[in-house]
Order: sequence, then structure tokens, then C-alpha cells
Amino acid sequence: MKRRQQGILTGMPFMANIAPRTFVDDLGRKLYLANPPKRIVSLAPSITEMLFAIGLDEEIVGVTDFCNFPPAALTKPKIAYSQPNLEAMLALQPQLVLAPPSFIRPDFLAKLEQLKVPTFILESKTVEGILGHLQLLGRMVGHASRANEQAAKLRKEIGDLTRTIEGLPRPTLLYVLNSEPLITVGPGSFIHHLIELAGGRNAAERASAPYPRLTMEEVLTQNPDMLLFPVGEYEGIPQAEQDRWKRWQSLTAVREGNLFQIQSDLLNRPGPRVLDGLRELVRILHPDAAARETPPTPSFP
Amino acid sequence: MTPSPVSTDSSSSVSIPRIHSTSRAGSSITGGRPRLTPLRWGLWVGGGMAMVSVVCVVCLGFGTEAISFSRIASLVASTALGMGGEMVADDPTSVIVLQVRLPRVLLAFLVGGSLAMVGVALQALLRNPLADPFVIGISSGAALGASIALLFGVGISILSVSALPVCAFAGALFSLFIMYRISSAKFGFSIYTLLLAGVVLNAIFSAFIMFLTSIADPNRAFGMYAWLMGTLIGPDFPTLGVLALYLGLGLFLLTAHSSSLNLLTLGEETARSLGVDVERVKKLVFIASALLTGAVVSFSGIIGFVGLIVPHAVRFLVGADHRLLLPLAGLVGGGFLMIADTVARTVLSPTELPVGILTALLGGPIFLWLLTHRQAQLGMK
Amino acid sequence: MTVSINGSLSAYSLHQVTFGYASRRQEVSKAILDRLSCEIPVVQVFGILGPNGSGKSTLLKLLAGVYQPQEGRLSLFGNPLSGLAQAEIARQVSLVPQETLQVFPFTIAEMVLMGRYPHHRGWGGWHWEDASDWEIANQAMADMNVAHLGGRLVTEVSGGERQRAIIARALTQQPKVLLLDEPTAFLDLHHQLDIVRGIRRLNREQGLTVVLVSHDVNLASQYCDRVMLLNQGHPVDIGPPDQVIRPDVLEAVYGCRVLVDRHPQSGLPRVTLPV
Repeated sequence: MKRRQQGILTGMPFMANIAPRTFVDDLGRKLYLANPPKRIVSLAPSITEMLFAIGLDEEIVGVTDFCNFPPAALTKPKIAYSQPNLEAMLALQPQLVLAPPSFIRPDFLAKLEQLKVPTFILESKTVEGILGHLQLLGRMVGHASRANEQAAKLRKEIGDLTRTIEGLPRPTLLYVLNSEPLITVGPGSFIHHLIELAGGRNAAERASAPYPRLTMEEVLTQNPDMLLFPVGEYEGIPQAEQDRWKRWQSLTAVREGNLFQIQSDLLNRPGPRVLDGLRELVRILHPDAAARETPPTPSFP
Repeated sequence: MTPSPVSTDSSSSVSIPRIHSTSRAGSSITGGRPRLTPLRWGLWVGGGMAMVSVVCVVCLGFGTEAISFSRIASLVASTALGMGGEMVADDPTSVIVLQVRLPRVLLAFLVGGSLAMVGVALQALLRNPLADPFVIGISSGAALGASIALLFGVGISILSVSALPVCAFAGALFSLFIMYRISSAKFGFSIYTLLLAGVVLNAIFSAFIMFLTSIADPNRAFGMYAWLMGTLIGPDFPTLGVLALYLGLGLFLLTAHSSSLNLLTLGEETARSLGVDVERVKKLVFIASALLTGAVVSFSGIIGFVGLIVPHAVRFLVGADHRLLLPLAGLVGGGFLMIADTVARTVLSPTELPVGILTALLGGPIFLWLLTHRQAQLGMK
Repeated sequence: MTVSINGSLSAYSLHQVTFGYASRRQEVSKAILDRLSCEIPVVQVFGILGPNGSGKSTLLKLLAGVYQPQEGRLSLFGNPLSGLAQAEIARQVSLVPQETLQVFPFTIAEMVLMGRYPHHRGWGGWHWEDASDWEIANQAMADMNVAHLGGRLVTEVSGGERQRAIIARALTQQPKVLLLDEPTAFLDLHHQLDIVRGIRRLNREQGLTVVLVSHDVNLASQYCDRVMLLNQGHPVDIGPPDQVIRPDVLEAVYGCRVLVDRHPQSGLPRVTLPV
């Protein structure tokens, strides 16, 4: 893509609001869509979930192998994840490809540009980012009102949820992304953000990388009150590895039996189900507050 | 007896000029190293052990948490004296020193020592001073075996003493077998052949491992990558004990054969003519090397170049006699990896680096230097 | 012990010995030694001559027990070689191979001491050398004129020095039979003379049986009691040098005419190349 000098405001995110059918993605690339695209390929489970959440279905013509939610996603044609099959994708004749920045290779992106396949990169690192993306996608595909409605609803519910834990002490939580060797989430990662939002303190908050290998000494020093293991269909810590944490008897989490599991999809995917993930986190971090809260309404109607 | 066809001058009138008379036998080898006696052996090995103990205590003193040496000394002393006494579970300093640092430092010692000794043994067996379990693809073979075990759920976890080390052992043995067939081919035995074969073997095994990780689910693949980079995790003491047993067996086999290894460096035919039962020794050394590499790789992933740097350094120090070289390389290798791992876990604290990265960064350039500057010694001319 | 044709005792007796380096699939791809029979008498210097590829070195390796013949009988002092353990053979026979590549920094003394290996018993071969081992090794080094090099590394010394050290190692085995493969190949004239005279002396003084493979027909002629002329795995002739080294025989075997006259000192056959 060429960047042309068009004026001082060109390329800034809010330009998207000014020029109605021009959109700017998270790599700063501009995309002009004359009409809402009718054939969309999603290259991330979180994006697939967003698309369904704003009411699309028929328009979604291709998803990744890992797109397992909502159930309708399972029936969509699959193109691989980290190594998307270009031919399979082109055969779907996409009018819009939505991709996360992390797994898409620069050469693949360049090829799509060369083939004039409209490609849009979405990277959500915060809850606000997800809400913004929902609305942005709504405008792109012509479902603006539905998307705004969804975003507002999510914003309200997240606000309600976080209000219940306001002022409460913040327990320390260690999220075990990989057990042996220990890899966790640090500042800069989405899950770190969620832990803080849910009223917790990340045991790896001193780490220097978003996905650091943490020394066991640091874990013992931070002495987390709870350990959280992702489990799920595609990824997760095996039970045997979870059980081996029980030898660290000096950890408050172990002594008090605070070893929790969470569906990894709920935290790993910066999509509309982030509310469910947050709710789980609050339930783990602040069981008393969670009990007071009104029963959750499903985020999908 | 047939009469000598040579005229009478030969036997009596001309004798070979003798520089040293036989009366000075034994004590008087001019220059060079003194002879290896049990005393000298004991001094070196004892000195090595003392050095390793010091290194061990120093390494215990470094970590994310600042803990004073006196505290560490008293903790270690009290544990050592009151063997089996209950450790104070809720004293964080004691837990950090005795349950985090100590097992990890000990693991580093076992892993480093084993890798160095395997390096020594392979170098003797293949008559190639550049042989290293990593360079010639033995570690990759073990890693492939371990990856298969991991992914197909034979032994889901890395630390369990289960099918995992067995698969790693099988992988190491398989690649050693291939390597040996290549190196003992009638034509084309050279250091280069071996290195090239190692490169290719590494590439093939890496491709298989990448294939496995690409069909695996992302999180497992992620964990496997992290493990492959070479990581030491402090296991619990029973696990450490099992590993020590495993390694002890391999080390015993190697050390017992160190005199035979000396002769094997002269070449198989010569070794045989000097009375070595070459086939038996080869088999045992192969199995011991595969055992050690398999055990080490299944615990710590791929840590390269330890088996290359350490034997070279120790040979420089004490010479090539395997009776001394093997145990001393084991001690120095252990000490080396303890230090390397201490750096790996403290330099970016509280984040840590895979120690395999450090050893490769250090060992790679040394390997290249040896390759380019020491050709004469490597017999490559 | 077996008694050879001419009445003296045999160190080795070979009967219909056949050997070829076996490739993987075939039994024997091409026989290097084909039904070779001969006797090697004790306390003699026995020379094996022959053109390249005639099987000289291979025969020497069979005698050292490095390889086993596929067919035929090969016995050492009357005992079948196949029935002896490698170390038992090495206590009686030592081999000085033709080429030795040494890559590890052993000292000359350490390498010579390796000759004591077959005399020690320990599980896996672990042993310490005692004072008598050192005495034997030092004597051998003195005999081979390398005692002053004891502390030098084998990787540092010259080819000739290394060759002499290897012979010293072979002597350290205290063998009854010494097998030498081209012992003078890397040596200058002075050291050639030293070596062959030294070997001759050991043969005369200590009753060592020597089997010597050489390209150098003159060397064999001067220093061997008997020679065997080998061609394509077959013995062409066996006997004292002045019987075997004849122009017609040499021409038949080597395929070129050579001049044979008499050595001015010994009167033994001397071979020179024509102009």
C-alpha cells in the first residue's frame, strides 16, 4: 500500500468518521469500501465472534480452523490459521479479509494487496478496543445500529460488573499460560488488562515482556492468592501439570486451594465474549461480590 | 633358525642412540605433563569437586530475590545436617533457596555435566573433536522422540519420569546409529563429512519437530517451542533423584570405559590390535551416550555446545587421557551450566531467558573459531 | 606348535585363508585374499612384498586379529586366532599400522603407555599403570629413540617421530610377534636405518618374530630372513630373499622390467629401476 501525502489529517483514526466509507485499520492502512462487503473472510476466532455478534452470518464465507463459536461458525468453510491457504481463500472470492496482526505474515499481506483483496487488520488490546472494533465493523458491513447497540450493552454490563468490585482489595493472581517452563502474561498483554479490570493484581506485573518466562522465585515472592489455568478444546494446561503446582506449599494459592481453571477461549479472544471472561475472573477474584451481582445475561441473544 | 643373511654388523656394533638411559625410567618424562597417578587423579577430581561446590553456593546466592550469603549458608548447612528434617514451608527465603534455587542449580549441574561427558565420549568414538550431541544431531533426535511422546500423549508432561525419557532415548539412539553409519563408511570418513551429516540430520529432525508443532494445537506447540529452546526447571527432589540415577548409570558406563576410549581415539583397527573389544565398547558407549542425551533432553530441551566447549577447555588443561578428562569434563560442564543458568535467570529478572540461548551464543562463535583456527589440531589438513 | 615345511617352528600358519571386505548384501564382494596358505616361522623377520592392492596390509590385519577371515584356518602358535579374545591376541601380537591420524593431544609417553592396555584386566578396561608399566614403556621409547619426546604431544611431533613412537607403543605390548605395515614410509634415510636395525636387533636379541609389509623390495631383501611375494591375494613365491627376488618373478608380478644386482656389502639381491 502506498501512503500519499494528502493532508495533515490523513491516516488518523478519526478520519474514518469524517470520510464515511474510508476505514483505517490498526496498522494505519486505509481501506475504501464503496458498499458493505457481502463476502467476508475472518482470520481470527475473536473477529468471527464479533461478526456474528453484530448480526452477520451469510456474509461470513470463511473462518479459521479454530473458530468454534458461535456454533454456526463451525459450518463455515475453513482456511488454516497461522498459515492461511491463499488459494482456498481466493476461491471464496472475499470482498473483505479481516485479520489479526499477530499471525499474518508480512509477505502474505503484501500478496493480498497485490491481488487487490481488501484486507483489514484488527488488533484489540483492551476492552475499549473491542467495543470500538465492534462499532467499526458495524459501519463497515452496514450493521452500524446493531453494532452500536451491542457495544452499548456490553459497555453497560462491563461497567455494572466492575462497579461491584470497586474499592475491594485486589488479590494477586498468576495466570499460567504454559506450566513447564512457566510462561505467563505480563503488562502489555490482553489478559493482564483483564485481570486488572476484574479487580485483580497480576503476579507478573513487574515482568518486562507481554508473555514473559517468569522465574519461580518471583512467583514465590509475589505469592499469588490464586492460580489460574487455561483449559479448553484447543489449548490448556494438562491436569498433571496443574497438579504439580501443589508442591509449592508456601504459596497462599496452594495452601488455600485456590487453583482455578478457565475456558481459555474466554480470555484469549478479544471479542464480545470478553464479558463472560471478565465475569469468570470476577467470580474467581471476588466470589462474594460476584454472588451479589445480578445473574448474568447471555451476551448473545 | 635360519642364519642371518645380513652381515654381522647389525646387532652388536650399531645400537640405536639412546637419549635417556633406562635407569631414569618412570620419573623422567621430559617436559609436558606429569604421569597420571591415582594421586594426581584424586587431586584434580577433588579440586574439581571443591570448585563445583563453591560455584554451587555462589549460584545459590543469585536470583530475583536478594538473599545474603550467610543466610544461604545457614540454610544449606541446616538442611545438610538435619537431613530429612522438615523444611519450614512458609518461610519464603527458605522455600526459594531450598526448593527453587537448589534443585535448579543441581539440575544445571547434572545436565551440564552429562552433556560435557557425552561430548567427550562422542569425540573419542567418532574421532572428531567437534562432535557435540547438539552439533551432530543427537539432541535433535532425542528432542524428536520427546516431541512425539509429548504430542501423542505418551507422557503428557515434561517432568514425569515416564515414556518421555524412553522416547528421547530411542530418538538419541536412532540418530547416533545413523551418525555412526555415516562416519564409519568405508569412503569419505572425515570431520567434514560428520559435520555436514550432523547439519543435515539436525535439519531433518527439526523439520519433523516443526511438522509436529504445526499440527499440534497452538498452546501445546507454544509450550514445546519454549521447552525446545533449552530450559531448566527446578524439579522436585524425588524427580531429581531419579534423573541422577539415570545419569549415574550412563556416567558409570562411560567412566569405566575411559581407558578403552583412549585407545579408540587411535582408530578402530588400532584399538582392536591393542586388545580393545571394540564392538562391545562401542555399543556400551553408544547406549550410555544415548541414555544421557535422552535423559537430559527430556528434562531440559536442547542445550547446545556445552559438549563442545567444555571438553576442549579441559583437554587444554589436563590433556586427552579420558580417565581424567571424563570426570573433570563432567565437573567443569556442570559448573559451567550452573553459571550459565544463573545468568539466564537473573539478567532480565524477573523474566528469565532460556539457557540454551546463552550456551549457543557463547558456543557458536567458539565452534567457528575452532573450525577456522585449529584445523591442524583437528586433523583436517 | 606347528612345524613348518623347512623344519622350524611356525608363529603363524595359514591354511586356505580367504578374506574380502563384506559389503552389506553380498557375502564377500571381492576376495582380497584368496585361499592363501603359508607358514610364518618364529624368530624370523618375514617380509611381505607385492604391488598395490595385492592384499599385503589386509593380510597383516588378519594376522593382528583386527579382521577375521571368512574362510580358512589361521592359527597363532598353534591356536586358532578366532578362538582368542582380542586382548589375548594383543598380548602376543602388536601391529604398527601404516597411517595414523592423531587428533587428540595425548603426549608421546601417554600414547606409548597405551601398549600396556592388553596386559591389564579391569571391567571396561579401566586401569592404572604401575611402575613396571612405565619401565617397559620407557625402555621401548629409548629403543625407538623417542624418550626425549615423552612429554611432547603426538599432534605436534613430525611424522617420523610419531612413527617411531608408534613402534615404541607396539614394543610396549611386549609381543612375541611384531607386525609392521610400511614402517619406514615416512622416514628419512637416517631414521629408516635406525628403525630397521632396531627391529633386526630386537629380533636377534629378544627372539621377536617380525612380519613386515613393505613396498621397498631392497629393504625386505636386506633385512628379511624370508619374504613372500603377494599378487592379487595369492602368494607367488615364498623363500629367502635371494630365491624370491629375481628379475623374472618381479617382472611377472609388477609388470615392469627391473634391474637386479647384488648389494656390495651383503651380496643380497638389490633392485634398481632401469633408465
